[in-house]
Amino acid sequence: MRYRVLIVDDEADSREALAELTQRWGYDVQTASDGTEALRRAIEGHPDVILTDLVMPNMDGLWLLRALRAELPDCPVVLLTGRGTIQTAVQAIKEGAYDFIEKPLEVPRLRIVLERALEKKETMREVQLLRRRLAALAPGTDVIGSGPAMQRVFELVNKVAPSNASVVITGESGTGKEVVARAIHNLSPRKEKPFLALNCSAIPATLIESELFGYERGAFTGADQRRMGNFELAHNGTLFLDEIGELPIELQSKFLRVLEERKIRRLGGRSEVEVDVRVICATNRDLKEESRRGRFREDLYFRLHVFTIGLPRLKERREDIPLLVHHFIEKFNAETGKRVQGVSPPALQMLQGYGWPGNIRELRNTVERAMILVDGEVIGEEHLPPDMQSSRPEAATLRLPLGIPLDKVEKEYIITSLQKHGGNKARTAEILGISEKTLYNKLNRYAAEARERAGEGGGADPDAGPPPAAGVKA
Amino acid sequence: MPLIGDDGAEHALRSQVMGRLVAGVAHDIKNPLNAMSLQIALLGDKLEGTADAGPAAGHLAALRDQIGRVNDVLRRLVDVTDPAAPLGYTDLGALLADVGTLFSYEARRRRIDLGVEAPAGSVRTSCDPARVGRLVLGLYGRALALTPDGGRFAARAEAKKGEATIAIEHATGDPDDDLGYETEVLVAGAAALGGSFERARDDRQTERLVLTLPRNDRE
Repeated sequence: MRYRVLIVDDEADSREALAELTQRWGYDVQTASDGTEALRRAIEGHPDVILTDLVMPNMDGLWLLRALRAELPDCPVVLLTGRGTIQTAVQAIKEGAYDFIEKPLEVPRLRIVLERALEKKETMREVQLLRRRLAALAPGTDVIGSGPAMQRVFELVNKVAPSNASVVITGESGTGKEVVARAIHNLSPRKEKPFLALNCSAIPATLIESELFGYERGAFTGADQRRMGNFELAHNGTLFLDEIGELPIELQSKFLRVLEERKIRRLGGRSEVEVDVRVICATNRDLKEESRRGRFREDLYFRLHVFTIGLPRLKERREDIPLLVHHFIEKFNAETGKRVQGVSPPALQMLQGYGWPGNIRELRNTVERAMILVDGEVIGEEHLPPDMQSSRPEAATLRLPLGIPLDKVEKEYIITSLQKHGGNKARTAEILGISEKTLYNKLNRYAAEARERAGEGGGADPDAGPPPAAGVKA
Repeated sequence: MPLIGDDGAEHALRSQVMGRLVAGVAHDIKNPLNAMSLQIALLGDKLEGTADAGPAAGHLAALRDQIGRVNDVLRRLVDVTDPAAPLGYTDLGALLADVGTLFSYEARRRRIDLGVEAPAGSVRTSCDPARVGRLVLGLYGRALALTPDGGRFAARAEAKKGEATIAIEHATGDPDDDLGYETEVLVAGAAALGGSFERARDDRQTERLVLTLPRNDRE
């Protein structure tokens, strides 16, 4: 794709030379000799970036800039000025210019400014696309994802939300279990009623009972007044119990009884209180296995598992990373008053290549950190954590001659990646975006091919081992 | 009694118009410089990969350097004659260095032993940048005009507590009656900015001029 540049200068020599130079850099160039002509050409041709002289007869650069803000608000404008004072720069930027360059132009700087302006334009375009996609996704919820794994989750959420069924949400820590629970609540007839979340692992075992069921005055030392528990507080609404596997076994029968009878009794209380609460649980444990080991009641397990939703790990839905990043940027922009527009393509590539052991929570924290560090409008690689930068898969390069079969390219790539990761097959498979099993199958096939060739009397097989070190540029 | 007579007022008027002319001329020179700079870049681009690329590279670099030199002179001239320093301060060191460079041709021509000590960035005044620019230019020009050919001339910018000063020490030749009103202008101008201007003669051969202005010690 050739980017379109509009060059505006009343000096014919400068204009034509600049046009020829930028053409040689691979841009599609149009020219105009004053602001009026430039505005007409810009509206007709929708350039990707405009380079304009500041001082021109008739309509000058600032006039053009103001007119362009209305007509083509996303098109970056670079002003070329005769005298580069800070006032000029401040005025130009205030008026919406992307940058300004002082004459006589330093050509390398001009080239960099052009590239950055286009990068910004690309980022803005991506942002627009993401905004549209976000708006179209699961309206009424904060669940974000457009890939097949999350589409399946949306389907399940939409199906189960209108009912009263208990739901178990499974997934690794940080995959967004509470967000999905809230989505179920928000899409249910209970959406106007309370949604309460309680993390069973965050509360000492001795306090969970009083947290869930409340207590009467005098129930225990320090209970100086009656206190309602989460079940009562969530009446007519939804109670989300995270880490349900941490619920003490002695409390599980009481919990099951509440689910069955829809009645609770406060600690120290004599009468029962009716509650209408929808319970959604989440766990990152295998409850069936816990049940087999006697750590989780089987009857409770079956009572809860009316409907199960499994959340994928972030690395299994890398296609959703741009959407999630954009969502967090918007969120932090709103909270901090910053005006970050997006992420540079190399930084996004790095984010999509990372393993994300902490899943979405880690991604959220990474974006928050980057937004603290960034001063401009675009998050770059330098704003990402150093360990993420060093682990980037693109940090190593594989050079291969053109004209070799595709299956050999794949083989070289896989073996070099394996070498790069010190023979760690799990990590290599993760980086390559394939399952460990697939990686093993491929490696076994390569080994079999090598043995076969050696058996044919071919001697040392250049394909059998790793490629020569000289082919790898770290 | 007016500070300056009709003659002085004409000088002031001329000086103001000259400042505007300089800005216009600078713009007119910068455009051809810009065209030259682009043509050189284009030529370099076209020669790349050809047999002439190597030999031509030196010539192109020399041309770029010369364009840079012309641009530097212009930049100083415009900065000094039409100062518009940002953020409410004037860097007296940078201003004195630029003024010194612009007058260096005259100093060389008259074999004046010139010394300018002007650390950029450390001597700042909070006064109106345009007025400070005019005062420093007038002070320097006056002192240089009074320095005899082959004489000594030393200028220095310095920060002292709440003050920013420019001190000039120069050999003195025959007094020029036409320059008398300039001293009055400097005294009145410095006072109007909350500073002072002092002139002292040691031994009838050396004159010491000190322009003191309120200092801006903001980082």
